[in-house]
Amino acid sequence: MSTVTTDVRAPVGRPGVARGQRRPSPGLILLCLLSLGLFVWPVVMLAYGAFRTAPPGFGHASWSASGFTAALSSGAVWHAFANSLILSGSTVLISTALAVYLAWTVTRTATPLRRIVTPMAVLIFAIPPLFFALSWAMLGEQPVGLVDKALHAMFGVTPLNIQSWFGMIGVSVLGATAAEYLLLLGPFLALDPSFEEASLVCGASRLRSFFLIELPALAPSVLGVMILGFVLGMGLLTVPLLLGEPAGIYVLPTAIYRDYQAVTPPDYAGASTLALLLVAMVLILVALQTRLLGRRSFTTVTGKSSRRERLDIGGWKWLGTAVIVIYGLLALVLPLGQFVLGSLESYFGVYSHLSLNNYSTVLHAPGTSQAFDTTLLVAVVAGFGASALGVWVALTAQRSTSRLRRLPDLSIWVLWAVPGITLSLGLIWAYLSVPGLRSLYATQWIVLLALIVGTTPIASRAVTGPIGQISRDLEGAARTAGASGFRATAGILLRLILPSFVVAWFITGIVSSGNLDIPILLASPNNQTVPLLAYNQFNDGSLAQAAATFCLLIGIVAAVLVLAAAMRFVLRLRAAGRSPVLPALRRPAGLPGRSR
Amino acid sequence: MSAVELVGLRKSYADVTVLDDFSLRANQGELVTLLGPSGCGKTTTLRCIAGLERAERGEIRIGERLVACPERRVFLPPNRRDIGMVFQSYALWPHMTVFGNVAYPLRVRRRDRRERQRAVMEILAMVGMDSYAHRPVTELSGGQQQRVALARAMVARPAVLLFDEPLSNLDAKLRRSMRREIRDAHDRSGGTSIYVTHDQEEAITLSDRVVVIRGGKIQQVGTPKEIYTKPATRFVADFIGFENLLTATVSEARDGSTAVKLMSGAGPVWTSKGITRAPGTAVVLAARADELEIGSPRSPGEAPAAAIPGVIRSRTYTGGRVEYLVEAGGARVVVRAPEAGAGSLLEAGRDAWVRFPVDAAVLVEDDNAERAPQAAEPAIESVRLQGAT
Repeated sequence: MSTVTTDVRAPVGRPGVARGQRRPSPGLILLCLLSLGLFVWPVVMLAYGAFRTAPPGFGHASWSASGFTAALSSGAVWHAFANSLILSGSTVLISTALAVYLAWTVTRTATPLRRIVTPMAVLIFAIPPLFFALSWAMLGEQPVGLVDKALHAMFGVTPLNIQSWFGMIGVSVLGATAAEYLLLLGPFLALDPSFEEASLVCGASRLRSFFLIELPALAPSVLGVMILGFVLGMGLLTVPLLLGEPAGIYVLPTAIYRDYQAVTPPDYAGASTLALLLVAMVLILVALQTRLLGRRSFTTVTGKSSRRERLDIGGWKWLGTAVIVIYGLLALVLPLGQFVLGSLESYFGVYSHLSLNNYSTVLHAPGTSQAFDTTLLVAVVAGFGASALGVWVALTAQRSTSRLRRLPDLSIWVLWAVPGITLSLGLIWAYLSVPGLRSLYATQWIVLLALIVGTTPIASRAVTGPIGQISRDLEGAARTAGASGFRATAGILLRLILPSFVVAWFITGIVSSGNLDIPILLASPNNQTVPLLAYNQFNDGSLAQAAATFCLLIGIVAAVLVLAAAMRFVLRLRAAGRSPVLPALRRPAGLPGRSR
Repeated sequence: MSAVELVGLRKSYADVTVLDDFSLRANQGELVTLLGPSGCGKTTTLRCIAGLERAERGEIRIGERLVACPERRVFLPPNRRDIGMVFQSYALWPHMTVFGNVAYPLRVRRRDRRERQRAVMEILAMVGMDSYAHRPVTELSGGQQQRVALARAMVARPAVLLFDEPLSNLDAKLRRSMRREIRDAHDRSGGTSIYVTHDQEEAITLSDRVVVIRGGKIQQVGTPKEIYTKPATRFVADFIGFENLLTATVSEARDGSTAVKLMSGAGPVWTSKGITRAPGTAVVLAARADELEIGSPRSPGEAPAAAIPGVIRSRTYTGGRVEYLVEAGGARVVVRAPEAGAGSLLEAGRDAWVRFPVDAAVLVEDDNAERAPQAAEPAIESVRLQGAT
C-alpha cells in the first residue's frame, strides 16, 4: 500500500494561504485600490484644489495659498459658515425632537393613525429634497401660492415669506424628520421592553421611565442620528438654493456653488476652501461624537422582543394624531397638491384654464426624453454599482482575515465627511486630474460614476448589518455538506444577501434619480438629469413646466414603489415573512467613526 | 402583612384564552412557585400581579390593597404596587453602572443620597457584588448580572418579590448555587415571593408551595413533597418526572389500599398512595423508574408475587445505575436498578420480570381527556411571535 503516502497534504491546498492568513488575495488588493481611487482620492484632491491656481488638469496651474487665504479672510465666507451652522443646527434640533416623538408614538402608544406614519415617511424619504424646495417655493410664492392665498384669505395678511430663514428651516425640518424617523424606528423597536418594565416595577412612573431609562438607553442612537442629520444638513444644497439665495442668505453649499458656477471666472480655490471648511466641521463633529459616547457599547440594545402592551395615554393620543395629520399635510399633501395643480396651470398662478398643455410641451421638448433616459440609466446602473460595491466591501470586512480587510470600509467612511456638493467638487478635481478620465468630463458617464461614489455609503450601511447577521456556520455547513468554496459563497451566502442587496439597490436608485448636487456640477446641458432639468426650468421662470416635469418623475418613482410593494406582497404570500420593508432603514444608521 | 391573592383571573390574547378563572393565594412570607410547561400561563399570571399586563376579569390583592379589578375599574400601575421583580433577561439598564442599576428603585422613591449609598452597598455586599459597584453592567458575566438583578429587586424592601424564570439563562452548576442564594434572599427579606419556572427540580428544591399549571388552569397545589410523591393527575406526574404512567383498572379496594390490573390483565399491583376509586374505574398507575425492581426468572414465565413478566428491550448505563426498557403487561416500563444489583447482568432480548413493591406506585387521575388545551399552546406562541415582529 505504498500509494497511500502520495500526498497527505493535498486537501489543504496551498498551506498558509488556505485560511487567508495575513497575505491579501488579489481580489482584496483590487478592492483596496478601487476604494482608495473612488472614495479617498476625491477628498485628497479637494484639499489639493484649495492650493492651486487653476483646477487640476487645466492649463498652467501652480501652487498658491492666495485663494485659500483670500477665502478665509473674507467676511462673507464666515458668514456663510455661521449660516450653515444655524440652518443645520436648528433643523436637526427640531426634526429630531419631532422624529423621536413620532417614533415613540408609533412604537409605544395606541395613537390613531400611527400606522400611516411609516409609509408616509418612506414616501417623503423617496421624494427628492429638490421637490420639497421647489413646491414650497411655489406654495409660498406671493401672491399666487396656495398657502399664501389661503393665509391671505383667512387672515387678510401675508405673514409668510417662504424665501427666508423661516422657510428654509421649516422645509428642511419636514424632510429631515422623515429620514430621522426611519432611522430611529429600528432602535425604538429593538429596545428591550423589559427595560421599561423593570423601571416600572422599581417604582418609577411611565414618564419617568421614559426619561430615565428609555431615552438614555437610546441616547447613542438618537445622538448618532442627530450628528448624521447635522452633517447632511451642512451639505444640503437644494433648500438654501431655492429658498435662501433669493433672500440673500448664503450657506456653505450655495456659496461653493456660486464660487464654482455662478461667478466668472470661477473661483476654484475659493470653492475648495469652503468645502474644506465643511469637511473640518464634519470631522470635529465625529470627534465630538466619539468623545461623548466614549467606548460605551450599548448602541445596539437588543433583547427578545416579547409582546408589549401599548400605552394608553388617554386624551393625549389625539395630540399625537394631530401632529401626524399636520405633518402629513405640510410634508406631503400640500406640496404634492401644489405641484399637481401647478403643472396643470397655463401660467403659474393662473388658476383658470387648467389643462395638460404643460405635459405635452414638456414631453415634446427635445431635452426631456434625453433627461428621463439619463435619469433611468443613472438610477439603475449607479444603484446597482453602489450596492455591489457595498456588498463586496462588507463581505471583505467581515469574512477576510487579511489585515487590509477594513481598508475599503474605512475609505467609505471618509465619504461621510464630504456631504453633497463638496463631494461633487472633489470628484471634479479627482477625475480631471487623471488623463484617461478627463475625456469623460461632461458626459453622462462621469455623472454615473460620481453617483456610484456618492451613494455607496448608503448602500454600504444598508447591507452591512444584514451581512453581519449571516452566520459563518451557514457557509461552513455548506462546505461540510460537500460544496466547493465558490458554491458555498454563491449558493448560500450570496443567496442570503440577495434581499438586502435588492433593498440597497432600490434605495440608492431612488436617491440617485433625485440627486441634484452631483449633476448640477458635473452634467452638461445635453446630458442633464430630470432634477437638473426641473431646476433649470424653475430658474427660467417656467414654474408650471418644472412642476409638470417633476410630476412625471414622481409618478414614475411612485409606480416603482407600488410595484415593489406588490412584488413584496407576492413574495410574502409565497414564502411567509422573509424580508420586512426596507430592513436597512430599521436598524440604526452607521455613522462616521462608529463602525459596527 | 402582604399576602398575594388572585381571584377568578381571566386573560386572553386575540381568541386564545391564557388564564381562565385562575385563583391562588400566596401567604405572607411564603415562596410559591408557579410550575408548568411553556405557554401554560405562568408568566402571564406573574405579569398580571406585577401590573405589566391587565387581566380581563378577576381580582388581584397585595396585602390588604386591591391592585387590580377590571369589574370595578381598579388598576394600580406597576410603580405603585410596591414590588420587586427579577426578569428572565435580567433587564439591567446598559447605560448605568451596577450601582446605578441597584440605586434606581431608591432614587425613584426619593430616598436621600446617604441612605441610598448605604442601602445599595449593603445589598450588593449581600449578593457578593460590592466590589463591582462601579462597573458597567455590560461587562458582567451571566451569574453576576443575575446577582445585580436580584439586588435591584430587593433593595427597596418591597412587600412582594416576583421572579420570572430567573435562572433559565445560567449553566447547571451556577443554577444550583443561585437557587440557594435566592432562597436565602427570600428568607432574609421576610416578604412574599412568587417564582415562575418550568424546571421541576428548581420548583421542588426552592419553594414552600408549588402550583402546577397547565393550559391556564391550576392542576395541583401542594408542598414540594406532596407534589413530588403524590401527584394528583397524569399530567402532574408526567411533568414532575414519573417515568412510568400505565393505564390500569381498579380491581379491588380494601383498608385504604387499592389493587389495580394493567391493560393486559397483569397484576394485581397494590398501593395505598394516591386516589381511591371503586373497582372497575380506569386510573393511571404512576411509578418512578427507581422505585421498581427487576429480575430474571429462573424458569420461563416464573416471577415472584406481584411481579409482571416481560422482555427487556434495551439497556442503558446511566452512571451508577442501569436503566432498562422492559415490555411488560402490555406496556413499556422503565426500570432503573443499581449497577451492582441482581439486574445488572440482564441483557437486551432476555426475559425478565418487573415488580411493583407495595406503595411504590401512585394512583392518579387519567386526565387525558383534557388534552385539548394543550393543542392550543402552540397557537399562543405564534400569537406572541406575531406580536413581536
